[in-house]
Amino acid sequence: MDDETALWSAALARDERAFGILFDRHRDRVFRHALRLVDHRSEAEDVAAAAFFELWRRCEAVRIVEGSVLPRLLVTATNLCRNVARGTRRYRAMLSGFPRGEDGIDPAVVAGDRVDRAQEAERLHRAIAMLSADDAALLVLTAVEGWTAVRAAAAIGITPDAARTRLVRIRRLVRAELENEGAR
Amino acid sequence: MEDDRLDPRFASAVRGVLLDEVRGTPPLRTARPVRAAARRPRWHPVLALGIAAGLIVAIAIGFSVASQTRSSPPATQPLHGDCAEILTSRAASELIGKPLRLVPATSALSAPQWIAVPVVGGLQCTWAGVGGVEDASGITLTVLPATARPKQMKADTGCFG
Repeated sequence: MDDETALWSAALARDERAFGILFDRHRDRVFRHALRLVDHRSEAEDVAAAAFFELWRRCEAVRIVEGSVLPRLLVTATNLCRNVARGTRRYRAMLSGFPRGEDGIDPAVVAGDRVDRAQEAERLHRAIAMLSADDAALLVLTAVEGWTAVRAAAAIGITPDAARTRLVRIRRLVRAELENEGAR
Repeated sequence: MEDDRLDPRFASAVRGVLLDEVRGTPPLRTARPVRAAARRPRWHPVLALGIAAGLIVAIAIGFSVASQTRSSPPATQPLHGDCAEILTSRAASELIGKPLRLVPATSALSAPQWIAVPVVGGLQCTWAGVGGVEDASGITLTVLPATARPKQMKADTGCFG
């Protein structure tokens, strides 16, 4: 993928074409990411949209990681997924007016083979909801996206050593929580 | 639905608002000329009024709506885009008890209710104290069409702020 530093610089200079390219390039990727962390398609749509709105709203704080804005978008989307209602509240009035597909249909309901995936998503959703924003992003980027701790650390803005230490603690915490749930 | 791509119509709507923001298009122009409309349906909008002092009032009024062309979904603007038709600066000042003046609209992303304006149509007006940033007194009015209100808001009075 092309280095997006120049595109992002152009977007910051209010070049709508540049921002449009970034949106078109990453929108489905961010949506798929959100789809794995929430229960309903409409929530994933809201999160994907809000991630891009937040990208622009807080554009001056955006760091390009590995030549791309995608890490920032995925970290933002993960944070929004921790509490969708709260995270997308700022944009709800606008999003409710947008045209949707068949967003009332839950894939887990109409497709039996997706039940496991929905259950997995629910467990993951509960896990990230109990973690801090940075820890949730660290867990999702490594466990779900398959990123290395070093790459995830860069996206979040912490050192690789800190990321590894945190991951050990996060996995222990999540494992204990899931075991507790199983015992209930 | 098995498609794991963002719905194209939804994506297009998001893209339109985003690019408007990047372009720097104000969410509304308080005195923008309105093109003649082929149809002028009468809507009953919700007027949400928030006063910095904490007073919150909601008023429902009816107005004529004129169509406009945007890159995002069609937006409409009531009252010919003129905030003074809702409230004059003098009336706003009398309401608060301090001198206020109409100030230019800020980014549509600044507040939840303002974001809806470029999309579903409406009008956002702000009267701020003349004392600069240290003067927190002010009034913000957001007029949105009642038909575009989210379902979860149907039961409330339409107030924000």
